Amino acid sequence: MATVTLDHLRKDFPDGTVAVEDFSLLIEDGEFLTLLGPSGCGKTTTLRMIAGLETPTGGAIRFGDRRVDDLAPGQRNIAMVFQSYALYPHMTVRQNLEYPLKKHGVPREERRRRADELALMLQIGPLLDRRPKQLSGGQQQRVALGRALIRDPEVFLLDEPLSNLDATLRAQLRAELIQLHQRIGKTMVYVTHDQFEAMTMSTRIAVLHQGRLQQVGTPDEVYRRPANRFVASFVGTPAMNFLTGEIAGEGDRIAIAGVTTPVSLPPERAAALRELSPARDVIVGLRPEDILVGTGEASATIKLVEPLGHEALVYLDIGGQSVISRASSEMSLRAKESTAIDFRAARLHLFDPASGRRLDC
Amino acid sequence: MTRVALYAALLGAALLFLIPLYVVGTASLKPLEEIRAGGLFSLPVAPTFAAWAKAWGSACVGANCVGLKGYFLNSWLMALPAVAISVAVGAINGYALTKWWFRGSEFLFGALVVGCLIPFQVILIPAARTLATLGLFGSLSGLVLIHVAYGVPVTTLLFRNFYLTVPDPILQAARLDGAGFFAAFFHVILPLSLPMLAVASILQFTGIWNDFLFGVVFTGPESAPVTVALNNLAGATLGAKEWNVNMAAALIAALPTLVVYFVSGRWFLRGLTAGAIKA
Repeated sequence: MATVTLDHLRKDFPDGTVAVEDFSLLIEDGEFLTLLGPSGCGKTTTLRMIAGLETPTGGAIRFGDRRVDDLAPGQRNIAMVFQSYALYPHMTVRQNLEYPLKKHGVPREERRRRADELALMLQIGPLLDRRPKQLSGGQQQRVALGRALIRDPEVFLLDEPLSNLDATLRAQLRAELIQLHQRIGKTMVYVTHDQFEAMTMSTRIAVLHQGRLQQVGTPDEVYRRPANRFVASFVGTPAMNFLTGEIAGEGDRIAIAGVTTPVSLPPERAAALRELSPARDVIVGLRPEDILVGTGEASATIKLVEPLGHEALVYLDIGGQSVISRASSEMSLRAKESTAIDFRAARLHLFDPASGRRLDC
Repeated sequence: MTRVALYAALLGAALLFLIPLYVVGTASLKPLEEIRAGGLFSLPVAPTFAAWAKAWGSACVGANCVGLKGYFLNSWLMALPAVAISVAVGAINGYALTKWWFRGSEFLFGALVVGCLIPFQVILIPAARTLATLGLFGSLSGLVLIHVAYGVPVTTLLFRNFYLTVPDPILQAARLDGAGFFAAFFHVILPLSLPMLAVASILQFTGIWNDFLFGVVFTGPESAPVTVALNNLAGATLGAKEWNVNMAAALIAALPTLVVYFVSGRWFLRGLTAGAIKA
């Protein structure tokens, strides 16, 4: 059982780029923590440092109270699943599964028993004597999972394990991974650039951007209270809309550029804002579902309607600013027409235009 | 039509290479009188292995009339360890250079590759001095050392380029599974290297077996390889030239490399064209 502590972790590459900077995080025992971010954000480098495949240039990593920075990967009692599966091509599935045990001196009988057990659990029993080349992508990833599970490690590291699979298989394995985590209750650190995977699987999500931790929280927190513009734009599809505006009235209203009537804020949010920032420019963040089409006092021009079956995405022009809204597919909306719109004031997000930080806390 | 032309051209090229072999082969089976009688392309009238037996056991190599057999053995004693060591070191070098990046590894590789470009003649004198200092001058071990030193840059280059195609995660998985530098090499990397092992071994074997320059410079009369002995046998000026014996001796000296190619030619081609290993 292990917590994983990242303590002011830092990684400089020899070419001078800073891959990870001042990254501190306590990953709880049994947690499913996802490192989420675009490519090049430092998430994989962080995972590789936890694995011991990269050496941090600053800070410390602890499993429980044990500092592991100086331990070789094989001494850390971790297992990793790679995007490319990384099975040993010249070994059969059984040999692949048994290899970690063999390296740790587990006797032959025990190895066979554990491999059989896992094969049963992962439904790869009939494949035990095949070689990786003869397996489909999904089967290969199951074997890779099995090889990670077999040694009963303290911490599981998963580096975009579903990225190479097609959509159907990905959904299936995603569900299997969630169930697996529930069953074994081990600490898992999962790297992905796919916010959908992050939202559906994680206990908590740590969002990284340009080597820095942007926010860490439950999927709900990250979605409902993004800490800054980056997180707000990265999590959610279609992405959050950003409009320029300013705080108006006595700090209880938000004037959005191009919208004649300022939006009134609920009292508790207005109170928080009044202290913080009297009459200033802000960036207003609105998720597509928080812009309501066909109702309200403001108006907008419809640029495009994308019907998705259960709903439609409506591209709107609000006083020269482009936004996307979700609407019921039953509404008859046509491009180039004008429509009434409304905003869910309780759910709008305010960001500082300069720093991008969330304004109300 | 093009097909006919193609076969004709290929056949022509094959003949061009095979005719000398045919002449050497038939001449080695003819008694000396038949050769003197002329008829370079005629088949032997009374084929005999006498010339082969003499070349093997009693022909004069320089002043020693002992045949090639001892030198043939010398060549094996030189080539086998030299091939094994240079291929093994090259494989480990290539593995370390591609899979265990370290500060200066790029420079080290560059320096090694320069070794491929230095002409043999340039290093003869320094190498002789070095061997003399080590007390290995004139011995087979000294010759093995020289061949290893000269072979390692080439084998390193071969294995490095091959290992670049082996996906890194496979090695990383092995490290996470508890394998260290050598365990990962022997359990995971080496089994994937069979095609390249074949190519490197064949290249090294033919190069080392056929070498004359190092052999003639660095060995003594007892420790000479078969190529040097062949030269001394053919150059012996006592009495009349025994063409049939010379031809048989040449074939004996060339036989191992020929056999290697016949047996492993397919492996060789497969190794040369070996592409990426899928992870």
